[in-house]
Amino acid sequence: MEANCDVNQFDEEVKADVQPELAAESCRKCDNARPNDMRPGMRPCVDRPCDGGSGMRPDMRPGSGRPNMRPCGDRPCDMRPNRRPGYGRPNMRPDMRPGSGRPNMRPCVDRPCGMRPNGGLPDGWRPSDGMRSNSVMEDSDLHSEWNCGNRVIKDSVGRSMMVGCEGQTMSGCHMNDPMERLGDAFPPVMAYVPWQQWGDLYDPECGLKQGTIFKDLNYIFCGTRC
Amino acid sequence: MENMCKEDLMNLIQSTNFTVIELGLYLDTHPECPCGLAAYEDYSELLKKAVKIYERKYEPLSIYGVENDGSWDWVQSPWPWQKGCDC
Repeated sequence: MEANCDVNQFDEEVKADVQPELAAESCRKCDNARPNDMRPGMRPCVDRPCDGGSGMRPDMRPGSGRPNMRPCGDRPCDMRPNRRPGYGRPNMRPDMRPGSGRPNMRPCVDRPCGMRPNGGLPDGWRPSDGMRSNSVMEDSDLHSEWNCGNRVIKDSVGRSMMVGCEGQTMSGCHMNDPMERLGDAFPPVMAYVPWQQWGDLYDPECGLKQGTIFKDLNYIFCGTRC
Repeated sequence: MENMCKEDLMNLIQSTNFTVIELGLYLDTHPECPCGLAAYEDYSELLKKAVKIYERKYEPLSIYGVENDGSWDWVQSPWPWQKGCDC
């Protein structure tokens, strides 16, 4: 199924694909359905007793319907009986994407739903080529140097910090942390895990102190070092 | 390595053991990497040699390292919390 911003279409497809009987016989009165919303095979419940929006056929036993389905009973129904939880639109702002209610959501106004203009990376950053363990940092304005097992990370304005056996004291680490500078530039809940490549190793003693023998993997963890 | 004191030898064993584990984790995802395989071979060989020397000179590091020469020395040597370093 193609990704699509149209929740209406998605819901209808889910209904038709998963439970066509329910799709055909769901309570259209509670749904405030428009006549032109009806799919072939659907019929309104105008001429038959309304089951309160439970979406259940008379011959169905309680509990035999879809999981998480709740009848709307006597209250105003804002939820179609066979709509999946999380896709209810009544509480959503117009600029929200389906399936989420996060307050700082960005609208997908002029682009495909959920996509940032440059594929998720902040301006000036390239996505990883998938082969270098720290390609995102090295391809940008961050540079790294190697110095006898110590790694010096510099940013574009010349601030530097040392990572290595002899660089344990790092004052101002919080301010120089390149990850800190990224801030919320990356979209939330998206992980980037480039494939590790073989590189230089620390000697065993230094590796034990650093927590890794791979120099490429020795990044700054302010939670323990600052 | 033969002339190392007990503490230095133990440090070597601990750090080399960590290196071997790290290389093993790397090889879990890169099983064909020749550099990783070669490094693993080197460090695991070094670890075996260091453990053998330590157990011969000082005490067994595991139950499998006990050399039974007439007495059960597994319980004779100091335990880690007893600070049995002699250097």
